Amino acid sequence: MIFDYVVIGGGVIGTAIFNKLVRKGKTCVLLEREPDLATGATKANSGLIHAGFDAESGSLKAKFNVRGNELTENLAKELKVPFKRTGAVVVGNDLEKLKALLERGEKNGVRGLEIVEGDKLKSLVPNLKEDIKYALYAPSAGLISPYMFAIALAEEGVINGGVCKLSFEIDRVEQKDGVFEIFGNNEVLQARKVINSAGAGFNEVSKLFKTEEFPIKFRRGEYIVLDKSDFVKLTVFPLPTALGKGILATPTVDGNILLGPTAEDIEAFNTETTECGIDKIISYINSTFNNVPLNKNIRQFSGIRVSCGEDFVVTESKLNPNVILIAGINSPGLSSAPAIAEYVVEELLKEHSEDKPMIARKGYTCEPAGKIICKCEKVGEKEIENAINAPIPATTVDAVKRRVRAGMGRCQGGQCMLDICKLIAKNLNIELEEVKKESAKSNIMFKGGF
Amino acid sequence: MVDVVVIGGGPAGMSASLKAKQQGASVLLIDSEPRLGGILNQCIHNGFGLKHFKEELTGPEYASRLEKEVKEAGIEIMLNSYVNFIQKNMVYVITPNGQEKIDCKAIVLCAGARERSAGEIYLKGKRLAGVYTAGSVQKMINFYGKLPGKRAVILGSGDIGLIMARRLTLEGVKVEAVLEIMEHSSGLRRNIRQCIEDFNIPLKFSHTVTRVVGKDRVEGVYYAQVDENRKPILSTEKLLECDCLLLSVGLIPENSLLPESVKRNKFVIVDDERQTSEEGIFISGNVLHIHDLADNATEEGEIAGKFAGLYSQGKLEKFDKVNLSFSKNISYCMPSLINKKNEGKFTIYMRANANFLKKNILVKCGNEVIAKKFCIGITTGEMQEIEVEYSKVKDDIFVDIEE
Repeated sequence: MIFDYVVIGGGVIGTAIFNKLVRKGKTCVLLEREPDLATGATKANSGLIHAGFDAESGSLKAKFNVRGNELTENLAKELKVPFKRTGAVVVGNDLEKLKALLERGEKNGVRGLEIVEGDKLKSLVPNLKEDIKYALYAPSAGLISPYMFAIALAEEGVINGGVCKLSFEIDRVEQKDGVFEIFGNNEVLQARKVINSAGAGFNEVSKLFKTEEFPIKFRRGEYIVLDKSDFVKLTVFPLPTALGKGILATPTVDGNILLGPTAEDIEAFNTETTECGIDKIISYINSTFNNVPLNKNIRQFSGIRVSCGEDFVVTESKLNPNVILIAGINSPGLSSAPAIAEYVVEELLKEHSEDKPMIARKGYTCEPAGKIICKCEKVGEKEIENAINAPIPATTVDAVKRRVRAGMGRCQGGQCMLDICKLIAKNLNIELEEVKKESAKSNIMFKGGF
Repeated sequence: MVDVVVIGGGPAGMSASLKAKQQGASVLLIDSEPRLGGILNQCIHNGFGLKHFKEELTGPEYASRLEKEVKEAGIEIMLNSYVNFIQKNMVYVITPNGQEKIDCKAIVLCAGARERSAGEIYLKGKRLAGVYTAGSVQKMINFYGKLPGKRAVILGSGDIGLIMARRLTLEGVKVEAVLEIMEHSSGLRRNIRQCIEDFNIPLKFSHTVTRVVGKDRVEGVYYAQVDENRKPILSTEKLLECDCLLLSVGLIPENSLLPESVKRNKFVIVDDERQTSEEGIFISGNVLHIHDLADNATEEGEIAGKFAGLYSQGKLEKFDKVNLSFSKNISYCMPSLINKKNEGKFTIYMRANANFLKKNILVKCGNEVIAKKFCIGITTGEMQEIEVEYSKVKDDIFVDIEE
């Protein structure tokens, strides 16, 4: 069969476009080279649906962010992905800068913005240091699990007729009579049009399709994750700088606290955490807040934000009109995803038909949930098995973790990781030593007796 | 309705059940795993039971002896069941078939401890496959017969790390080094001798891992000497090639089930009967403080079980309590409150802050020394204990290691 579309890259942008194309009744295949979706920038960011006051007015970022924010709430509800509209504040003493942000936000179409101080600020951010006097309050900002959002978008797409291929490495591409032939994993896929949403792998994909390559830069952001607490009840930003929105403190949609990110330009894709980065977060957070519950620290991670220029690139290729190029999706990429998908599908690909009604995804939770496997997050055996046997199966330990939170708690899988390996092996009918943590070569254990 | 619910079927929980039963109470023992024994089941090495059973046993042997006693005593057992929530006289449990509410008169929490994770020690570098807690590798080898790699580095010289250094070596894995950030080990001396020295495994004190590197799995760790503030001295940083890193960096009591209202300082505050500030909720074993030996956890479980049993029968006598405090030479003492009883003895368990040679442990009440014990060697790695007669406790007491 010849697919109408192939979407390359299973991050939140690729999955949102895939989902939208399925809604338009198109035949569509989503390709991801890793064993799971959402393993690049999508898995390691702040998990925020920004209000949209930060982006330069008139930019794609401003347009997609504000529209994406509007679209996310309903979409998340439909996908059964938790979303919370908790709001955000930008705190600081430079009232002029805060007012300038407010004006920009209003120009971008953000609703409900106001400058707050005194008791109102205190009630919004009880742990804020007393010497910080003002804040811009944006009630429309929200929280979502970025990886669950992407996974659910793709899952719904698959339930409704889309095809998703994981661990799919493209070897080469040919184009015959207006049809792309994509060779990889010992098969050939045929499709009429291509969407390159490969994120950090954008240029590699562009090479295969002989389309434009862009100078892509990497910026690393390190984070600290704290166990669940009510240290902050909404997202707290400092005033933005040239390097980004600064180190924030936010709850996650699951109730953890996230501190970070740092912003460091790096040469190559490298997700190490560093002494310097972690120290920077701790000292900044301690200078802004009282009662920081750093004793609840459970994890650090770093995410890579790719950029090519100031704004997003979302365009048709000039070298091959059948390829859509999406590059440089850094913040607010997650917030913009549904709007980028809408724009790509309706404006660039001219798929103007009404969205078809979609069969809803089931999710993984169930009652009774079976024997509790992850004690910290109280995840039952049946829930883990539901994730492993889902329309897009979770075949790795991290894939299970992203879907049902097993291993996300205070012991970070110390107690349950092996039990999860066992469930994966049992359900996929593979040997224990074949179970991976995340990537194709990330085996967790080996046969004894070497 | 049951008189006493014991949560956790390890050595503390099983012995607590037995003692509660001996007081005439009906007892329900709940465990989240498919069999009783807790972590003992994965500790296939010997060295257990010298104190409690007066003979040397492996972990599973020790567990099965207690298990047999529990079964013979007619204690009701509920397996594969996770306690979700407790409050006074009530335990909410998630069984494989759904949720249940159990009414009871007393609760003994014996939920054990968990291992400190990579995140909790801010381990830098990549978060790769091949980084494990030492206990999960113990389970991997002893339960599943699998190995974590071929060349291991162990961070931390707690007992589990030391035991695993030997276990890995016996399984043909090369242990490149055991790195300890402190100047001394927090493990037992016998484990350093039998697991490290006997196998010529390099044990480097005042060293830590600075960075984990690799692509999909661990390919090496950078490590460095640390200064007096335990900060790495970067000029001493070196790469050590390995394919797995085991963390033995401490155990944390898993006491999150206790209601918020239970008073705590560094530990949960209990009296000599192991009752918390919430009447009817008792706690013992590693969930209270970390024991060196299963035998000690068993002993503490017996205390908690006995008094929980009496409490459930309305037979627990009430006394005034005094406080126990201690000097700067001591890291902590257990318990922190003492009932002013007239007869019998109680034991104070304590851990020193530094190593001492030929010193006395003193227990004072005012200016009077009410107990004294001479110790040839006191190390931070080994729990000390001293018996005190109740009748001598007139007021708050103070524990010290004589300078």
